[in-house]
Amino acid sequence: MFNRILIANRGEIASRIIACAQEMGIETVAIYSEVDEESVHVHAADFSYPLGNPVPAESYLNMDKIIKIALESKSEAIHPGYGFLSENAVFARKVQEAGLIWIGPSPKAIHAVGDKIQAKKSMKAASIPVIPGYHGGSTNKKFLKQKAREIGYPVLIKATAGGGGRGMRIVNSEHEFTAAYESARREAKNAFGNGDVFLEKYFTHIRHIEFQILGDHFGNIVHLNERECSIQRRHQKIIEETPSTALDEDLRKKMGDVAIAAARAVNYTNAGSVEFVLDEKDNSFYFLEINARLQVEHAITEAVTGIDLVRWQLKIAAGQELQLKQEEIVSRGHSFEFRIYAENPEKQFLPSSGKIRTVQVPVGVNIRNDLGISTTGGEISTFYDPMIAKLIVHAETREDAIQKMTWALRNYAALGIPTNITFLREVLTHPDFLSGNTHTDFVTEHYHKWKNGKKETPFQVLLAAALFEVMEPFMGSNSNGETLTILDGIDPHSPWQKIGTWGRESLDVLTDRVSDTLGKGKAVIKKIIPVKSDNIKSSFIRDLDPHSPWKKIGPWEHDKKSSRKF
Amino acid sequence: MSEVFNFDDGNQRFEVRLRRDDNDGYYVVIKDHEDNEKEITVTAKVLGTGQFQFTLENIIYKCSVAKDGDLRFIHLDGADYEIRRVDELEEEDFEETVDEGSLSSPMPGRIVKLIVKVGDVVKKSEDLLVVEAMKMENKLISPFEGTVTEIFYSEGDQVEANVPLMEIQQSETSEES
Repeated sequence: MFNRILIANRGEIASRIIACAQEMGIETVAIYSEVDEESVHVHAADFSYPLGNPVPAESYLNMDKIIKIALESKSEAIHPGYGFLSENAVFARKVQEAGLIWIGPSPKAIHAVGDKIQAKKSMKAASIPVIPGYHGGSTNKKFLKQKAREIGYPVLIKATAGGGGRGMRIVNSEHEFTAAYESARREAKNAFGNGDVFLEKYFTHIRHIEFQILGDHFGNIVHLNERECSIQRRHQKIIEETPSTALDEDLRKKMGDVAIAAARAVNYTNAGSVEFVLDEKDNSFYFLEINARLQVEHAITEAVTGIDLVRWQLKIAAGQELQLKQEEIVSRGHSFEFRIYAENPEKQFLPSSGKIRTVQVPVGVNIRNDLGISTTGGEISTFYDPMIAKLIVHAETREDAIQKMTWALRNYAALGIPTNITFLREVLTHPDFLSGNTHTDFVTEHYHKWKNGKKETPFQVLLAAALFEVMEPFMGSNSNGETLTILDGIDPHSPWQKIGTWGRESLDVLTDRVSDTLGKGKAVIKKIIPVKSDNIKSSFIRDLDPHSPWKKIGPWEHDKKSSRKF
Repeated sequence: MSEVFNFDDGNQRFEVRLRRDDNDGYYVVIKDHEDNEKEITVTAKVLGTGQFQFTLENIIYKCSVAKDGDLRFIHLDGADYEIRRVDELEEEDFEETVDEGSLSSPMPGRIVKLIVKVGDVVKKSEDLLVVEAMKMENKLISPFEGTVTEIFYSEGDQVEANVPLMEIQQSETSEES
């Protein structure tokens, strides 16, 4: 097994991989761009190296820089996570050529499935059903328009090098074709550096089903059942579940076998997903693509199978043989993943950015939080994907899991910028969701021009807002991560009592000051104890918020030497 | 003596008055638009950054609050609310703020394409420009018929959310439709 690996990613997935590696006794190296210096993955890792400029091309997509850091840090292998360079065959090859191990499928396999046109040809050759379309490679507008007419509208224009809904356009009729074609090509060029597109028949009311696969270097390939990822917006998944309500044992077996055949057709190794569209009308299914990486939604598979996919990724990359036998892989219960995004569902789910100041995640049996930001908050920058966190629950039945998710989402707070949390709570109550009648048009069909149902603001909410105004000075509201807790008495074990200006006396003075500004009478809140004892003194003073009322108060003053009178 | 806080939830404005109790709490007086008043004792305790609990008529509420300028994001009892703190001196004409959203940047990002130029006559719903962020494209669409009088940015420029991107002189005829 490796001694040290580098994780060429950021946020929640980097943290996820770091934790797994550390469990296995492997040291971890994080990389971070300027804006990510305080990101969760940097704090989680054993070592961290700066990438500088936050622009993706200069940071998490900068192959040479990353490989240089890997060598410099004496890492033996690189795990790419998802997104960024995870499905980049050129990078995978460069990693190997540098004498490092690539934790993922071989560059050859990535290349074989990454070129979506080539992948479909390989699948066709292996007698795997593919969606009708044009994969010929021409990018001539007139010619493609003709082909679109032959396939029959609606047609989907997709980027050859694409993924995640980027460079993808639905064309409902011929007069929309030109605009969609140009826009798709431009977006593809920007996102992937390659503006090539192909055409596919666009199905409505289909399900998006994918099978998790694992393959080793000894020819063993298994699947770990399906994930249903039908609920999407902007062609990106927001809710995933397993098992799918659309599959029975027969269909699961049939699709699972095809998934393995598809992986075999390209000599696939390590973790990956074979995506299908499923037409429920006749249970026909078509191969869509193979995602040559760990998926965002891998956690629901881990929940029902009890198998740690990242652990297997590392074992397989280190040359170990897969110990899992197909007949021994059993899914138990039901799992959901809801993705928490910084976005505005009222405005076509446009991403939002800014500072998340308060985070509170639900904790309970079979509830998993994969967080992209710290629980003391964090910045969602415009440079990267706006996903804040993943919330995963697992229970014995689908109904139980829905109940659990409902509870968990009710107890979820990520405040400071618009998020999709309220929207997700609402999806959980939709009759079609409850009955398992989900399809890829679910969001557009049921939530077109969705508005947050603004009921009358409860009295308690207004009261909370007013209380916040008076209590804010006691809550570490300078947003630098310090937590101040106010209790009725000072903790006798607190070291703070012994420290001069922070001592008991001055706190009383302070409280009186605060009371004076708020009116006569005693404050309910009498004492202040900083609960985070390390570094708080210096950082609190250094980073004093210019608008904080604390500036006005004696012993907390920034410049201790000043002889200001109060 | 009490402190007065004014909030606007987008539909109406509320006034919350907090008065400190001599013993261990606040008296809260709340008044809505119909002048119904309510006075209740409330006690509160801080739990952490932006998190506190309060007790109102024996019911304990745990809540989280975050602020961004005037905005207050509040999580209480399983739901999220967004309200605005307003200055009590502020005139009641806050509703006059015209929604200029339609000619403003829909999100922070980069202008990748200007479809129209100054002097162009545009129809309602015509595409004006394309903004891209996180590799997603979004079109700015003309809210009415008119003539483009000014464009404040060029292709490649980085823009914040909700900043005006261009000016369109609304044509008189468009009022009819």
